[in-house]
Amino acid sequence: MTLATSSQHTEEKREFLISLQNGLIGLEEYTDFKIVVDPAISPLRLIDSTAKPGLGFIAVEPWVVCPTYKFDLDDSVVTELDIQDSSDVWVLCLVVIPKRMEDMTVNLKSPLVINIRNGQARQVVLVDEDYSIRHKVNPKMRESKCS
Amino acid sequence: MLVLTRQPGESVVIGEDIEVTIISIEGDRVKLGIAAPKEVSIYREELYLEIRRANEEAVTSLNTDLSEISKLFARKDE
Repeated sequence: MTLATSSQHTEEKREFLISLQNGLIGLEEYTDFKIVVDPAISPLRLIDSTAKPGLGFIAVEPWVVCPTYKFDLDDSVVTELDIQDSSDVWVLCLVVIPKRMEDMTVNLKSPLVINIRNGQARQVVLVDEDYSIRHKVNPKMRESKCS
Repeated sequence: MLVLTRQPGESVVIGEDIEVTIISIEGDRVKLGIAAPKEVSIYREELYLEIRRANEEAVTSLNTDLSEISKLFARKDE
């Protein structure tokens, strides 16, 4: 299955509960999260642990920073998350916000793939695609290359 | 850690369905072939560690002003 566009067009505030298979790489103990879509901070999304208050992430749909973003989703993940159609898939990439805002990066290499129909999700690693774990989001660089 | 000595062409079997084969040895490079079920994730350790570090750094502090940050992501055509 090839994913190359965002299926989410959300304007009102919404929350989704997801169950992340195996958690995040390195943070495997947390699997249950709530994703908050809030127009006040769009296109940013909040990903908060429902098990550990205060454990949260910021994410963004990859197409916001990389319009040409595209990858093939492994059949094993399609099966695991019970994805019937590519329109069921929501893709989010984690954002790292360091002290210097200009150094902000987005992890395009290992996106979260979410089945919005059943809330099942996984952080996948795009071994075959040439995306960066630390893609720079520099507002001054209007045309930054992403692959 | 279990340490085994193998020659090119020989394998190690892990569990019931994972097989690691030494394909070749050239100088200080060892080429491995790994047969495993599709659901088993296999990456180079450096990649795994880098993703882990990025994930850990992505844990957000609550006092970040997100509405300010969101503006940095404003689309080009706006």
